[in-house]
Order: sequence, then C-alpha cells, then structure tokens
Amino acid sequence: MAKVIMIVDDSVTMLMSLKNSLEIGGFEVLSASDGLDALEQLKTSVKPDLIITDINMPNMGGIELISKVRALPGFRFMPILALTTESQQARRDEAKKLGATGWLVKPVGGADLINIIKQVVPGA
Amino acid sequence: MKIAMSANSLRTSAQQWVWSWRRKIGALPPHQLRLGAALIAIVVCRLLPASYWQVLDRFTGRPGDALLVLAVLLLVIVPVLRTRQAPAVERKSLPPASFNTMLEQHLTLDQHIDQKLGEVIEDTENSALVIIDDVRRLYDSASKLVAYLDSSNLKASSLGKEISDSVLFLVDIGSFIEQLPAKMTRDLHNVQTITAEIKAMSGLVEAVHAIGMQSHILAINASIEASRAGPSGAAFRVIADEMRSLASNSSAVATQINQGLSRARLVVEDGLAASIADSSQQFEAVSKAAISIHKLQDNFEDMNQYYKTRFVVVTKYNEDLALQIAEVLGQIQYQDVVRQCIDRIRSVIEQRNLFLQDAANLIAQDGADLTHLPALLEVILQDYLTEEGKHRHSSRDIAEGHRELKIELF
Repeated sequence: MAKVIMIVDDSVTMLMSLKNSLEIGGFEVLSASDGLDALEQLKTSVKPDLIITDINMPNMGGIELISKVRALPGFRFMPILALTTESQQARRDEAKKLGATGWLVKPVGGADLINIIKQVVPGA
Repeated sequence: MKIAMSANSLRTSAQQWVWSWRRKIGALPPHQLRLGAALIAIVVCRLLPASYWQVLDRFTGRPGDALLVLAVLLLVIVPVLRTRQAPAVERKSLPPASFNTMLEQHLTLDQHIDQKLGEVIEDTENSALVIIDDVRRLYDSASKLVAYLDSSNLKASSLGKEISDSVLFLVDIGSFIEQLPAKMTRDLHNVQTITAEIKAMSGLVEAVHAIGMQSHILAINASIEASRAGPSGAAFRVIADEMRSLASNSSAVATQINQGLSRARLVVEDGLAASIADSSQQFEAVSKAAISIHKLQDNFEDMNQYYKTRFVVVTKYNEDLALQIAEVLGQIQYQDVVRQCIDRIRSVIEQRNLFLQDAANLIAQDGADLTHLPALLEVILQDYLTEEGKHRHSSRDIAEGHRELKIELF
C-alpha cells in the first residue's frame, strides 16, 4: 500500500512539482496551501505518513504548523520535514526544537527527496 | 588605502557640516541676517586695537566714522553676498518642484519595473506549470509503454507455456518417429519369415500333387485289376473310381492352394519391396522432422530469453526516466526560489520609495531636520542584506565560503 505524504506550500509551482515527483516515486499525495489548510485536512482526512512543509506562508507558517501538529493526538512521532528557501541555523534550531525531523533547502532534486523520505518513513 | 579612505570620509563630513550651516544661514529671514551681521561687525571691531581705527579716522576726518562706514558696508554687502550664494544653494538642493517631478518619474519607473517583475513571476510560474504538466505526460506515456510491455510479457509467457507444451508433445512425436525405422525393420523381418513360410507351404503343395498323381496311377492300376477280375472285381472297380476321383480332387485342391500361395507371396513380396523403398525415404523425412522439432524448441527458448532480456532493459530505462523526470521536477522548484528573491527585491524597493517620498516631503519643508535620513536608508539596506543572508544555499554562496547544509536530518 502506497505511503501518504502531505505537502504544504503556498506556491502552486512547488505543490505541482512535489506532487508529481512523489507520485512518480510511488507515493500518494495530499496538498495544502498553508499551515491552516494543512491543520484542517489533518483533522478531517486520511492521516499521512509524512508532512513536508514550507516555512514562510500566509495565514500560518511552517514553524507554527509544526508546533500545532505535535500537539495533535497521534501526531507526536510523525515525521515532519521543512522544505524552504531559508538556510540560517537559528531557524533550523527553532524547527528542531519544536519537533521537526529535518530541514531541506529548496530546490531539492526528486532522487534526493525520495531517498530522504525512505530514511524517515518506515517501510517507504 | 585605509588612511586615504579616512581622509575622504573626514573631508565628506566637513563638507556636509559646512553645507548644513550654509543652508541654515541661507534659510534665515533678511532682517535677522542683517542684524546678526551688524552685531558680529561690532564685536569684531571691538576686538581690534584702537590704533587700527586711528588710521581709518584719518581718511574719514572724524573719530568713529570708520566704524559707521564699516557697519553700513556690512548691511549692504551681506544681502548682496546672500543673493550671490543663493543660486549656488539652489543648484545643489534643486528646486522642490523639479525634485518632486524627478521623484514622481522615479516612482513611476519603479511601478513599471514592479509590474514587469510581477508579470515575469506570473509567466515563469505558468511556464513551470506547463513544463510540469508536459513532463508528467511524458512519464505517463513511458509508464503506459511499460504497462503495455508488461501485459505483452504476461501474454507472451502464457503463449510461451502453450508453445512449450506443444513443442514437448512434438518432441515426443519426434522420438516416436525416430523409432519407426527400427520398428519397420522388425516388421520387414517378420514379413520375410512369412514369405519363407509361404515358400515352404508351396513345397507341401508339390507333395500333395505327387500324392495325387500316385493315387491316380494307383486308381488306374486298380481299375485294370478290377477288369481282370471280372464280375468279382466290380466292387473293387468302385473303389478304384473313387480313388481316381480323390486323386483328381486332391490335385485340383493342391493347384488352388498353390495358386493362392503364389498370389499371397506376390502380394507380400511386392508390398515388402515397396515398404523397403518407402521406408528409406520416410526415414530421411523423419530424421529431418526430428531435427526441425529440436531446432524449433531451441529457437523458441532463444526468442523467449531475448524478449525477457529486452523487457528487463526497457523497464530499467523507464526507471531511469522516472528518476530523471523527478530531477527535472526538482529543478523547477527554482521558480519558487527566484519568485521569493524577486519578492524580497520588490519589498525593499517599496521601502526605499517610501523613504524617498518622506525625504522629499522633509526637504520641501524649510528648516526640517534631514540629518537622520542617511541612517534610515542604512537601516533599509541592512534589513535587506540580513534577509538575503537567510537564503544562502546556492553553489555561488558555497563558493563564497558559506557552508549552510542543504539537507539536514535532525
């Protein structure tokens, strides 16, 4: 059974690029346009095996999303990857402290992304 | 180098200080300017020694007139100087109307640039989406090809099994056919034995003929003896007649048997000859058929292996294609990176333009304090540089010594 990955980004290009890369890699994909949208979907739709989120987004950014997801029941150990253009260490440390699993700086090639997913998602 | 830079910096600061004071003086009302000049003249004159005034008084004729003349001169000269300086001040600071026009033109230009940048972002985003769509379709086509090949492979495997079973059946038939010549040789031997037996039976028929002949002679002799015996030999004559009839019948039967055996021998011998002739040809055909069956089996195995290998190769190419497509899709993420970079540039241009508008308003006001403006511009610059510093990850940044990790798992 295909693993489900939720991607959260306000850029249509990013969403489409990631969606297609991951589908080609054999994953099922859920898309959300910002943190708020992602939270709503997490409460109502299928529980994903991994969340990949942008950091700078309108309505709710990635850092806040990570902290709110960790507070949800059953999401304490779900892997969450930040995928952003930001690279400074302070933001990484902040995300790590809130429970992020990893930090990826855009752009990330499809093969690299799939390798990382295989590392953080058991059975992927 | 550093000393030269410090000297330049010092000179620039001094010029700024002078310009600021000239601007302040230039901004004073005329009556204040004249009064100030007169007071400065009196103070300066008071500081001069009395001997200086005595020399001047010799020209004017009365003591104190020199001071009076100096005061009048100052009152006349200062406004003249101010009038001469005014164009210079106005030339450096520009008339407010011209400055505002220039600023408006600048802002209009920036608006056009901003609009164009927005269009560029929109165009690149649309283009990226089209590329993603096209690339995905390419992958879907390749996947369909592989699915088609997979289906064909399954059908070929099923068909191959049927062919393999048929070939095995043909191989069995081939083995049977291969054994046919030996069987035919055995049959030929049996037929030859039968022929020999028929020949042997022909000898028996001759013996029957001879017996019949002897019986006939005996019957004749018996008939002669019966005639000699007269009436008493009548019964004996009947026996002699019966024996003659028996001899005649046995001879006819022997002839019929002989004819039957001859026909049988001819049939068997002719059939045998034909069989021998046919069997040599059939043996050759059978050998060819067996070779063809084995060759067919070998060809089928080769063909099966060839297509299996081709299928593996095509599948591998498809996997490579999928990875390359995924890489292309990854590179398209640069559109978002560039979009964010342009957004930051647009943001700082907007901040700078707001600053310029505020600065223009301040410059237009008489006596407004403009000293804080460079610091404000510096803040905008530093904020922009700080924000850009958060996004170092490209090969250019790494070449410049920044080592932020592109991928980090916690």
